[in-house]
Amino acid sequence: MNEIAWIPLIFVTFLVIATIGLGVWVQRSVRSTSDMYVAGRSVSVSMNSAAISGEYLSAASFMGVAGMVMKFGYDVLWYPTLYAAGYLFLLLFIASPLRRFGAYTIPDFAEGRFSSPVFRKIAVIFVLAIGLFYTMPQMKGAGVALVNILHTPYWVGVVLVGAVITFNVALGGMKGITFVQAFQYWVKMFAISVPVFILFAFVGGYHTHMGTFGNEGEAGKALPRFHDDYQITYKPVAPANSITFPGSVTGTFANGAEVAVAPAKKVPADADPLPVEALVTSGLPAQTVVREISGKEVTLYIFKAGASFTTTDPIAASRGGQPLLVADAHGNPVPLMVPAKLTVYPPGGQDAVVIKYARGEIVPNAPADKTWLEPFGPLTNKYGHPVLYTYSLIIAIVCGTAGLPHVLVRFYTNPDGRTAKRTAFWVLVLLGCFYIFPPVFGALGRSMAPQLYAVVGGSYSTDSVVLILPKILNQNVAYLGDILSGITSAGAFAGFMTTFSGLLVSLTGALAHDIYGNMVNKRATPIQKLTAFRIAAVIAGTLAMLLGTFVENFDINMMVGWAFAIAAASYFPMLIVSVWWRKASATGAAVGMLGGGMAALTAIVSTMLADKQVLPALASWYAQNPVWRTLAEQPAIWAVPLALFLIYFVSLATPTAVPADIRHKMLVLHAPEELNLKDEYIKDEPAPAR
Amino acid sequence: MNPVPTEAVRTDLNPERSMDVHSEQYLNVVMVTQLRLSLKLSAIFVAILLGLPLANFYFPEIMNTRILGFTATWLFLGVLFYPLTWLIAKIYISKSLAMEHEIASWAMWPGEEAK
Repeated sequence: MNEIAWIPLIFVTFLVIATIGLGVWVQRSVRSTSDMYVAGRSVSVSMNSAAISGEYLSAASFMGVAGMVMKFGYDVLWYPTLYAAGYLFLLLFIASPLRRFGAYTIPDFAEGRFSSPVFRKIAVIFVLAIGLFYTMPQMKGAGVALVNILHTPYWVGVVLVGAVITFNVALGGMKGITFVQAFQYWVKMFAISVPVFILFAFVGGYHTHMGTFGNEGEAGKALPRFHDDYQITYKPVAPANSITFPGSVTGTFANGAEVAVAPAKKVPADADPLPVEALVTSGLPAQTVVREISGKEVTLYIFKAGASFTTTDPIAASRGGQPLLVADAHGNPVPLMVPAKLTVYPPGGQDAVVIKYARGEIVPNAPADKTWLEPFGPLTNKYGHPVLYTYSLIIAIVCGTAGLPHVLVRFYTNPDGRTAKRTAFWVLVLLGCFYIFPPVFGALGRSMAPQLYAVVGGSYSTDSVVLILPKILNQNVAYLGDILSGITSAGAFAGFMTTFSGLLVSLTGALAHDIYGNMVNKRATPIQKLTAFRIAAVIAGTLAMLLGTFVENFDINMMVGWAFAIAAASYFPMLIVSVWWRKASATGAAVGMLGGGMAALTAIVSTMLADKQVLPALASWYAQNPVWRTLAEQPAIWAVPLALFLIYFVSLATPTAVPADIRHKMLVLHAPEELNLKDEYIKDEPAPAR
Repeated sequence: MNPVPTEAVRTDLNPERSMDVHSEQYLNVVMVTQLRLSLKLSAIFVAILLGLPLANFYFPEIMNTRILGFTATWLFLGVLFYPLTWLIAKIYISKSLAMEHEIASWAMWPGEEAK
């Protein structure tokens, strides 16, 4: 597996060159600061809707949704659906008033709407925080994808994507990336749809594959099985080296391994003991070693090179001889079935464990058909409160979408509020067409490439289904699979590049316009402003690349989740209130935004500290209180109302902090263009002499 | 400053509902009509987003009926949901733009008089 993947390399190289070329070509027409920040407010509806969609469809949409659908099933369908629904709420409540205000950045809007320079400073902090949290997963995606294609060190992909986009943004700003993002939307649409249709022609359609997954009686218990003999590599990092066996599986340790054996589910302390010998039916080796692993002493069984093992079918847990019952996703009592879990560590001198599985063996880590196909599966039913989890996810994504500053700022590139509305409509169409496809990859992946379940996380897990699945066509037509995989690789790269370019413009705007132009040097000349934009782009780009190199072992979804939760609980309440409620005061909006955002962030960080065992007391408390655990992991359901309540009550308590000219401001936000009331908050400046 | 229309008599002014553009009354009309439309259309979505998890929870047999290989709920959430967003957005755009046009015809500038 160590040779360079030439065909994907050619596609990705072509995409990178086209991106740089477009950037240089557009740069010739960039004349003013307005071009840099809002593309001269003159982007047409068709161009802008493709650009917004291009920016929005990140690596998470392109690779992550497909991978998660394959891994968790139905529950993940909520993600793409809600990304689209979030846009609809943006259209209905925010898009056109926001555009009519005529700012350059969201902090501009916060300052102007509430006549409060302090508010700009608070808003800038959130733009930078959300932007950087959202940047890191893009960077990680780029690094990991290039590892797959070129086998370069991880940092090479980060620096490549970072440098190309920083160059484009510094040259052409918003105007430069608008063309690139629009172009790359179509790259992504092509890259996700064409391989799917070609796959359909060879292996059968979406409905055919969905039809193979059963959900009634015994058919619902079916598990994916290896289609061929496979050697799976397990690196000694959590969670990749932890393997759950949903049925009886036989495997061979090619190079030997040190193995911890445990039940895969928590068994209540008062249940009858479940001896580890029962979990491995082939018997455990006599030789053991005790090692300290994350603060605990663990007994590891030493398997020699070539030793085989067979795990048990799930064992029914019991208490006092009676079967132990637990509630299923619908609250019905079912017996608690406990599968085996092996955590594998390489023996001395090896850097990974290799397990051979024969064709026809059950694939480890895979959920059974019924749990995968039906709602309230392994994602939302993690802590036993699936409906609560689902609702909080819904609120987080819908409100988060409507509060992401890098997405909102693109609406300022429309000529007026009317075109902002039309743009949002076409964005919905373009997003909807795209989002039908990632779940298709998830479903086809489950039936055609189930070996990807065998490792959790990392380069060869379900996360890479979009890149790996098309390769199965190599057996039908020589090189066809590689070509399609090259196309999807280029699509993934377009995902990292467009989203990062939008984030970089947003971060650069915060640094150059909000901090330099409005706090440090208010009297900057147009040429100084242009230079400041370019310097800020390089600073922000370099910072993003540096952070990107540190996050190789972070979970992409966790970082995206942070960005969404903070956006949902901070910007969304602030925006909705500023647009529709006249009595909102500067103090109220600022307190609500800070309070909601910080509360959501604290809750998420607390679950992380518990998971990483930094606060073991908190971890055990969460384990006993699954409702609180769910609420902390998905805080939107309480943090968004909290922010709204804070804004409401603090505003009523501080009526003097309501801007004096509020009626005029509201009229500018809502009045139709025909009245010519348009009063751009940031006036465009004439072009600097060249 | 805001340009005041130059013609002495505006042809687009609706005499029956004309009101001063800077009045409290006009601002209320502008905001309330748009907000009412947005709330009405978003109610459809709120109903779906609140109702679908409940339907999945209380009527699993119906929601998981197989249609063309899919389950009913998968077909809805994974495929049919998107055209529904397009339809609602389309209705919103056409109504909202028509409404803006009408509201603009009620605006009366200082110095103009209702007939």
